[in-house]
Amino acid sequence: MSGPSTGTAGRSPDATDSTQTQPLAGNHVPDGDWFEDRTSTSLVDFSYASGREAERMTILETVGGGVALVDFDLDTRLDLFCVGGGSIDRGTSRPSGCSCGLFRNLEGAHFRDVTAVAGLNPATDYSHGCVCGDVNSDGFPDLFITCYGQNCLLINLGDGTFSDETAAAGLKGPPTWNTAAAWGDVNRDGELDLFVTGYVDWIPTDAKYSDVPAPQSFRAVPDQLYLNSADGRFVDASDEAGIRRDGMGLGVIAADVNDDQRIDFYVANDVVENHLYLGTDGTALQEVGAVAGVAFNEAGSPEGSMGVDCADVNGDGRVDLWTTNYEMEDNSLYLNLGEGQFQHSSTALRLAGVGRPQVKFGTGLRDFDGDGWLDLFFVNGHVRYRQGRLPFLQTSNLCRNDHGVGFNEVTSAGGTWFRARHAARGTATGDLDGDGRLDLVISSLTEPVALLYNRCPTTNWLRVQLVGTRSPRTPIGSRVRLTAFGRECVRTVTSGSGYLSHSEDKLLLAVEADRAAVDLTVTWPSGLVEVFSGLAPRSESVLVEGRGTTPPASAASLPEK
Amino acid sequence: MARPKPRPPTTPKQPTPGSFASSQSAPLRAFAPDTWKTVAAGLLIVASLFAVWWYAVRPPQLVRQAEAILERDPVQAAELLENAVASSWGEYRDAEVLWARALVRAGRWEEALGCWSVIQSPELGNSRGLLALADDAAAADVPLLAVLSLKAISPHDPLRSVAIERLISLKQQVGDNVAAMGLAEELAQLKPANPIPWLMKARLREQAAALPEAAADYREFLSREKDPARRAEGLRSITRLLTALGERQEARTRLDELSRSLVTLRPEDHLQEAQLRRLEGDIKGAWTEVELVLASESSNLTALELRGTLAMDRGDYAAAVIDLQSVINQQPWNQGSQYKLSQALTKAGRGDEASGHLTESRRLHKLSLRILELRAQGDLTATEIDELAQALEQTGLKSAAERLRRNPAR
Repeated sequence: MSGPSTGTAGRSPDATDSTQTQPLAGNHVPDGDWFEDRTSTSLVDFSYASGREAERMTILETVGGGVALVDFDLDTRLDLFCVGGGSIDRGTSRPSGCSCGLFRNLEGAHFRDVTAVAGLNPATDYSHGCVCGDVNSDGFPDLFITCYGQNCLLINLGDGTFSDETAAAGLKGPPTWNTAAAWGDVNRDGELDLFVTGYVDWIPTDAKYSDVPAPQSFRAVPDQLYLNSADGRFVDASDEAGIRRDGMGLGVIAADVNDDQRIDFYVANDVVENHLYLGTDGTALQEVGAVAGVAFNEAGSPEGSMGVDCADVNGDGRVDLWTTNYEMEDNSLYLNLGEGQFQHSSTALRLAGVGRPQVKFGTGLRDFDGDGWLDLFFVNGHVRYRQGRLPFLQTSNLCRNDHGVGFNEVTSAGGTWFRARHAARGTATGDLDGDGRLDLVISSLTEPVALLYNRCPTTNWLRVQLVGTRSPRTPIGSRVRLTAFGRECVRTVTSGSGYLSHSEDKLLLAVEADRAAVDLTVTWPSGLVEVFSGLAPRSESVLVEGRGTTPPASAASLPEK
Repeated sequence: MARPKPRPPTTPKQPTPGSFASSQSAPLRAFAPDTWKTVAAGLLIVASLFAVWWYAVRPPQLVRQAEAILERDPVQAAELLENAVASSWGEYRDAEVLWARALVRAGRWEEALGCWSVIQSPELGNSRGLLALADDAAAADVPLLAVLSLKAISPHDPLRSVAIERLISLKQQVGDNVAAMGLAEELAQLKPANPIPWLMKARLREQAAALPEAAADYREFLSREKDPARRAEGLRSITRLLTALGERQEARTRLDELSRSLVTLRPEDHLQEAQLRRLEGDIKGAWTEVELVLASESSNLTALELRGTLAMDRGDYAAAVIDLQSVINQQPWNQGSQYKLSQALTKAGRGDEASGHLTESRRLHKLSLRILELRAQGDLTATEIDELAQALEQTGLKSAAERLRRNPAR
């Protein structure tokens, strides 16, 4: 099935909300709304099917699904992949999958449904998350879909179609419940390995619930790490890597958090402590969440974490961690202090209280207004229909980064979508129309996928695509440094940011309006540090590992691949 | 239960005309028929007067006597009231209510309940009497009788609102917050301009962790309440709640109003100001407020914990360790401070000392979860009651543990 899904559709008629807006200052702030909802003209008509219409009140139907923004056909335009979800049997609660959707970007503003052409219309199992990466290094991004049941690895054949290689890759196992996933080269062999989070051991039952049960009613499903054998197969290395079995994962992000050129994974767990796995010299990962200060809230209690991201929020060059959390819990911003230590800093950066009563899901730290500072959004919606403190449909939040010293809420300037209530879940960011501004795609439980186009005044920008050679072709964990706006800006290539979703891999970097050329320093996962000089703004540059110039200070010793 | 039976009154037997005639002796026949009629009429009048006194005048007299001695001699009062009820053939509702009250005061609770159970249509009784019975029953820890007597006050009675307030309090005492909320809603409808029901609703919602709804009720309370002292308490409550909800702007408005309305701020007002300033991102301002409190109360643990947290915000981990250690010394069960101390020690380069506090924080958190689990479970075995009591003790809730051990059924 392609096009509109079998899930519940129709936009929420709920009234708008008068969220407070901070006065804005600076050159880059738009007079009007930051985002314009252009879903209706985009020709994208797809709704995630949660199965809630069966009225079984299962925990399965609350998790939702994600979206992926990736250029599948390498025509330089971002295409859109939407996870399909599934339906739930009215009598037995047994789930079955609905088809996902693939939409080819025609000229930025319009999309064509190519689900059937791409061979994606056979339904997967009940699906949640998606993450892209060039698994086989053929230049075409492949797709991994997490499901309740069997996950699915779809290899991009490069001709506009995909092939289900799950079984051949050794990724078919006993049915389980996986949610989020992230790619990263754990053992530094130049191949993308796969981290998949497990949620809880819910099974279909005849039992009637008065509302959705809490995750504490179930046992955790362990996370898994699969190593890429470079022959098209993956091997479960969870035990060897030391993956904990007590998480209830809903989010995972892969990045080089501690700047040691090894991939790290930060797992956002529901109701139990979050895990931070640091890469080591081998396959083993070292879980240091509690000691590093990123496992709990500031009072030492675990939270219901869902969305996740990481980026340098305060401009100190270090990668900070961020999770969105359950109702009456603040989202958690952990500032990286260096030397493996983080500090819960939501309050210090004026994020405490913002959206506190809501249930927060998809999120992202992104420079939407092109001032070089990473702004923040998170989208919300309850999981419980009747017993939540706030209604099922909720408003979302948008915050502007105030030069790294704090955030100011600008939700009321976010646009019509932000002012209305939704049951939002997965989010992805990317420049849909190539205008140098990051747009936003959001999947919700009760309405079609929304496409929000960025309306902030266009600044000067530079788009870079990193291509690994010694590192994986999709070089997750790479770090890019540039000097802009009078300071050094650091950006990282991550996998799994947001919630169950995949955002554009290319980095969109804001620079001053009068810049004629930009120099970038790239630190690759292989350890290679290179400078790429004289890059032209308002264009896209492909930076290939090994083709830059090596800065004198970094030429010393490179690890052998 | 030994329900005191209303005794039938010892009234003189009424002579019947027939028996009177047949029992007369011969000499009496000498009287003229008119004389006999006069005597008979006189006797009838006397008997009637006696009956009136017995049934109508004497019981209220007994009740008045009982009322006069109720406080100092409830046993004697109960006897008087028993006679009053008996004199009125058990149909003296207000005396029965007062009798039950005397029995409560005499400590004869079961008899009081029995007395109540035979009152016909108590809702037709005097509402002041019912209210007084409820108060005495509540004071004597006989909540059932208190609830029954309060419920008997008619919805149309002027004292109904007072009765509902008392009922809410009783329902809260037994943990029936759902019923209490229903009553508060009824009270709000009954007296729309009265701020008290809104305050009650707000507190009930706060207890039920329905914070946005509680804030809405506090707003209603404040829009009705004019009394400065009660208004100040309402402002304190709503500021605390709004701070917890993260609603900075309204919290600021409310707290500023509180500050303007008071001549002297309490230490907790300064601490609230500090909490709000921290939420606003004004770490320096928050620090100043906490220092004000600690200048007068150097061992205020809430202030010390907050200053330790603020020191962490400022990156002064050594200072944070000192304050948080002070808190832990007094409150080893303070899970939040144990965790913060572990973090401060780690960041101060004293990781070896930190691990113990992290472990303790985790242990205390698990204990808190276990307490919630056991409390939600309802029927507990003796072992589970003991486990719960121990968990309560270890998390600093000693009085709750003692109450549990004393009265596991509660």
